[in-house]
Amino acid sequence: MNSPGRLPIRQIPKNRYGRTRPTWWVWIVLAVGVWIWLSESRLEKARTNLPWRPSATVPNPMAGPTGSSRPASAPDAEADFDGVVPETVVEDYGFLARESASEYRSPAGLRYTRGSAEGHRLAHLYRHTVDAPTRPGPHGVFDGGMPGALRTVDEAFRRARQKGRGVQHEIDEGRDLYTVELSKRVGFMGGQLGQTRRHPPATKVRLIVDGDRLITAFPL
Amino acid sequence: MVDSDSPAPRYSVGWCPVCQQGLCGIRVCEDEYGLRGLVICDECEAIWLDPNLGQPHLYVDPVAPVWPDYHHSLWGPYTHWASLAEIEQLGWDDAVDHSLDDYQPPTDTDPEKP
Repeated sequence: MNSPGRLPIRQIPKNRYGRTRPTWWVWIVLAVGVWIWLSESRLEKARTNLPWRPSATVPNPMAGPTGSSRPASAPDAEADFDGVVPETVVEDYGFLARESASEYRSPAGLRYTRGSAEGHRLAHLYRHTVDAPTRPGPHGVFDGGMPGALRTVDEAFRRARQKGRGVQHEIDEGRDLYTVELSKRVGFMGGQLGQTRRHPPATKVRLIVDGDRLITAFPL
Repeated sequence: MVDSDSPAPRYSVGWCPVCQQGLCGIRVCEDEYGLRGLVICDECEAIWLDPNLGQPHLYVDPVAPVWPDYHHSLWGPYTHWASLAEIEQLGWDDAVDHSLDDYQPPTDTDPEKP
């Protein structure tokens, strides 16, 4: 017999009808709920790390011609740039912090704001996540869609600010022009020249910023 | 104005000497005071007030860019990438590098494209 007030280990308290006390069921339900919630969070995080896929698009009346299929050496490039900019391109991608209605800041402190012919720097960066095979000359294309481009640009910006090895820096009329060697593949050369040269891999990033504000970035 | 939303120029005078990858396209602003032109890189947005890329360039505000010494937005309704007719009107047709034309397809509003 157990002494009153002391419960043996592993014995679940029961009410006078021999059923497990409701408080234990509450804890079990809560634990299952938390487990499901954590699983969903992990799934959502995994989804945001997938190569970016456009979900909605805004047709551009001056859409250029669709060119050749994507290069075999660029498995993450979803499609060639055909003048259509997805309206969902301005978002945080689970990577950026939203500072205001139209401004985002990266973990390294790079700001993405309104501006450029596309209307927003994120929309401009989008141009460098897909090939533009009819564009004359080279066209740098990042691997990994928008999530990949944002992470690569942030790594380049962090290294640029540290002024470490492999960073070339020029100042032009108040703007900082960096060429950052990342010593790994970050994208490939697209455009007409890239097509002619069979899309050679790119290991550098050309980064142009105005203070902490991105102007443009593309692989070299 | 059909191309005002296009991110890339229709006619360019060369590669950008600043960023090395942008097209330096001719953009025009047209209002009741007439037609004026400039050259702007579609990557880094360096601006030249004439088609000679050897001349000094300038930058405007990156968030709300306006035409230099003017008040119209650089990407607003009064401005657009120049057509060949507008480039001839500016007297800049000799500066166009037609090997850079083919990024944009011919359109109904630009029948004179070679």
